Amino acid sequence: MTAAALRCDVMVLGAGPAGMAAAAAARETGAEVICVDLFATPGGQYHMQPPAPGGPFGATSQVVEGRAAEARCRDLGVRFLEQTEVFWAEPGFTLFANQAGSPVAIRSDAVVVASGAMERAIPFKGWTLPGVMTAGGAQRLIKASNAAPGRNVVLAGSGPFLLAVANTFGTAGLKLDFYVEMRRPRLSALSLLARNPGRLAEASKLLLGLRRSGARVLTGHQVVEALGDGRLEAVRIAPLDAAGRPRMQHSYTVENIDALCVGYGFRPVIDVTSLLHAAHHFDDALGGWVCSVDETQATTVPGLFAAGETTGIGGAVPARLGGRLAGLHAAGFTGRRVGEGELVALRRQLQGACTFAAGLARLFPFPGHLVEQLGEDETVCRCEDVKISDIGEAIRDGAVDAFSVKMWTRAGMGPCQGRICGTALSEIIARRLGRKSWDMGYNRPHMPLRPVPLAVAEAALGLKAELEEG
Amino acid sequence: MSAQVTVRINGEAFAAEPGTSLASLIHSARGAFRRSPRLAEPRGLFCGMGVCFECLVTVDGQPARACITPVREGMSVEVQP
Repeated sequence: MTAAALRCDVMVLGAGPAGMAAAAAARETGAEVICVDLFATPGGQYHMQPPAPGGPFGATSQVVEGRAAEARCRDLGVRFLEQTEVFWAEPGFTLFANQAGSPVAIRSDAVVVASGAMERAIPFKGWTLPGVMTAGGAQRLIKASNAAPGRNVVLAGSGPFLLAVANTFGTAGLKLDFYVEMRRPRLSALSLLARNPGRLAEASKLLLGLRRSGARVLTGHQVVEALGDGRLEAVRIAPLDAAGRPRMQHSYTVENIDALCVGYGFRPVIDVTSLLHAAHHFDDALGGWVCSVDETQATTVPGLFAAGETTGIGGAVPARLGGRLAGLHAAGFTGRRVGEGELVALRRQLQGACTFAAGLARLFPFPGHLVEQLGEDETVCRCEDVKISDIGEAIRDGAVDAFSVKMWTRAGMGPCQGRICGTALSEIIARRLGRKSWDMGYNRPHMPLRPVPLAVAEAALGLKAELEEG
Repeated sequence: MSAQVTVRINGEAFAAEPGTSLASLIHSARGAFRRSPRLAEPRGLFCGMGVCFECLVTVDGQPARACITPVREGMSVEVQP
């Protein structure tokens, strides 16, 4: 365990498209930049790299562009800290992290949070069975580990990312049995793509990948249940009526399924920005709670900037533009000179990219109502085994929001800290109380933000004195 | 394909491709990673990107999320039965 007390001008949290764009932009102005990321290789989820060069994804634009962005950062002199997880942050700024078992503390004048997104999970009957995983998790298995999620696979949920994952199966030469999208195709999708010809090519490529996966495509359908004894063995599929309710009398079971990959979209990772008391707001189309930023990507905390999915789910294009803007403004905050011309151009491009992302999001509204299908015996909080019936009991006893239900039941108190169940929990409580999910609050950040060995936490926090002396 | 590494899971040796995640190995080798705390239900890989902690295992005596842990030659892994 070697302790590291580090200093820089601009600290970037996350090495995905937004983080690497921010790091490079800040470094170009002469600022010292450290970029911290959880994974062993920079790139985030979008630019995730194959385990060895080549393979079915080696030449894809996502992999090639990711490697180029990393190389550019390294050439400029950005310092990457891989396999590093921030578990605490203090204003001013000092961030405390665990680098694969070694304590790290970093002092910087400005911070860019580009920590990306996580799955916006919705519980359903049987979702805790081994073999049921998120669509993003399945994609990571295939792309980063050359592994198949299963032999007979169902991909289900809603949204453009589902199509991207189907394309991942097709590109890897893996078979998909069923592709189950709850929305039906709409003409407005075509008109959105017609207004954005660049994206039309992308969409056709994804559709080709879906076809190559061999999946039976069902739209206007939903996987209503995962079945199995100790692990996934079958799924139950139901068509949806005009109001979006499953028609159970027409549902059927597909046997011999060993992987069910489910995705309904993403929610921003906002633990560090909320810990540092930046303002956040709720926008269902952007993934729920998002970190609020102004046109310079500045949060409400001086010196704290945010970009990419942290500021709202939009994909890689706005992430890169927002990241570059954030990096330049963060460098400006530390006294570096930044050209006004580029800032104006970036802002205009970012606006265009966000308009497209918003149009796409409108086609796939978040189906929060799905929580109403949950039976009393279904598990909502996977970490602490909290069931719907426990939540109902807490509400009858007087719980009025996510925080009080957590105190009553431990829902959201486990190692994931409500990151997986938080969206559903708020939907469930709000619907029972006849209120709105954003009135339920979100899980407040606590020490540590992510589980960390006590010795590492203690050593990292102990580095603060050393950083203050210098 | 590059030389394989050997990882022991509950004492049993498994070969894995370098650069891949420990989670991908456990997922294909046995499916379940742990048991839930109250109901002792088997749990499998879920988020696959370090958020959910369903893939928590013990690696060389330390708790680790298998999905963000690359396989390494000689790694010794304990998984709850």
